[in-house]
Amino acid sequence: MEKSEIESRLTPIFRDVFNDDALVVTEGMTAAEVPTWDSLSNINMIIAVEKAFGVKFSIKDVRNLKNVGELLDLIKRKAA
Amino acid sequence: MSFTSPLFYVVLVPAVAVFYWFSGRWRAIYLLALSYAFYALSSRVYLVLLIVASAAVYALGLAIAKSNGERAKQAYLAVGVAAVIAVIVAFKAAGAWRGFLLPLGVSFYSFKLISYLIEVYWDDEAVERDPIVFFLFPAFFPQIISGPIQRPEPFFTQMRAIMARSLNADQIETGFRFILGGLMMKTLVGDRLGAFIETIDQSHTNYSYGVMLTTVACYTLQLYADFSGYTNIALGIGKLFGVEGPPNFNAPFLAVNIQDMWRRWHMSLTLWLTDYLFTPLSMSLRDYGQAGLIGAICLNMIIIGVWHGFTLNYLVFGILHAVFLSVTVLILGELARRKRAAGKAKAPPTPGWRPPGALLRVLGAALTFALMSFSQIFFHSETFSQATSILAQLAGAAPSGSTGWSDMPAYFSVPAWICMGVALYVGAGAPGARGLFGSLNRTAPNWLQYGVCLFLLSVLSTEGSGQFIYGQF
Repeated sequence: MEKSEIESRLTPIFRDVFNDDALVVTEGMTAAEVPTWDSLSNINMIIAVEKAFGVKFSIKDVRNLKNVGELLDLIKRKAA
Repeated sequence: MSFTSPLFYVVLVPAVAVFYWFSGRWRAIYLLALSYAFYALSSRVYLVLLIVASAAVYALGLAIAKSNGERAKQAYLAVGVAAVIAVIVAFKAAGAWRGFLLPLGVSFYSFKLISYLIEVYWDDEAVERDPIVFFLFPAFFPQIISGPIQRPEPFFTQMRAIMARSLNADQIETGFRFILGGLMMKTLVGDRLGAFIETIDQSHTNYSYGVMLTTVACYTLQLYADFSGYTNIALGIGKLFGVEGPPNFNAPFLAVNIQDMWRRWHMSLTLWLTDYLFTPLSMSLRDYGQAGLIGAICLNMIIIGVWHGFTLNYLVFGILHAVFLSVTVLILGELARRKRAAGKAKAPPTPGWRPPGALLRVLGAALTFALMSFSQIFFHSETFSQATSILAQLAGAAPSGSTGWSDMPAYFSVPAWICMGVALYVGAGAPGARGLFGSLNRTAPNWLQYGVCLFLLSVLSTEGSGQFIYGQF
């Protein structure tokens, strides 16, 4: 799966979880830029991503993510 | 020794001055010596416990980073975390049931040690090999009494920077400003509210319903003044040595719901629990959907409650917040779903009067404050029966007395109202203060502002100031 494809599939998931229809996923995006991105919606996002891409993350995977770009890499690695 | 004790400052000032003579590694060595000396004033026996716990966690951290197998890493982590938790549980149990005095700061430094082990388990590179820097992390005296609970990585990074850089006078000025503000909040506001509450508590059934209701609000305000005051003093002392600690409060009385409140109240503890308990727990319960999430929230809040002490009151406090938070999360989730469904269907907004956003925020903040204060009845009361007796009076099940506000002498009631106003104003983020100080700065230089604060501190301090509420945890 290409990164750009993952990115475009992430956008509707993020819009849904973070409740923001104008949100566009970019590689450099961090939780600090999205006001509704807190510990609770973070878990919801992880669950939604796992479901959409048919992958399973460990707490260690998720813990070390610094931005959306690293999430893209993680999905790419897990879905391969 | 308390951060409000005059002797503490008599020693602190030369201790800071001496710190600036040292350079490089000696700064960390000196800070470690100061921290252990500070601890020894409280208890030499428990100082040994602190050193042994630090040494064990230091060794386990190295072992986790060195081992290659996931199994071995997990085993070291489990041993370390279980041992530290066993120490806290043993002391908390002895404290609650045998009246044992807790080792100074054990609830706080043990959380620092646990977070270090977990961080190293998650990422080998988080390991700290320098023993001086590592041993200083749990022992660092500005944070030892009641936090804030700093994370290992920011502390280690800053200590390395402090050993390498030149120190400047700015950090001393900022540090003293924090200490001054914290002392004023603690001794002028918190202690006065504390004295007011104590008087009412002694015979609360003699006072009118209105007085009792205000007193319950005071529980929240006093705790805020006391603990935010302590935190600012602790942060200020840290800054004198160049260490920036994490904040504990972010305008908590602006919180529009309980979820928001816990993002703004005792943040170094709640963020710690979010990272090391709530997130891993909700990840492992994610196959159970909403029930798993609510389970994780409830366990998290109950642990926040009993972390303060193994008493029925703290348990009830935790359970109340578990219920408040679960209900809030479910309602907010449902509202968001409806909003999105309406948005997708492109439905025109329903006609009719809608309350303006600002009004909703004020109502939300008032409700949140009321819920917080309600739970404070249990947090504040010495015994369970005292809490239920206050509750009975508030519910109208027990009669209130006849002493109202107008029956109290002005020297008693007026300062209480002023202090309530100040605590509420500061806890709501001090709206407008920035603009006021901006214009004040043009006419009054900093030294004059500090002078006024010192003057207020010296003439308004009450007798018997000093005990911090969070010192007992």
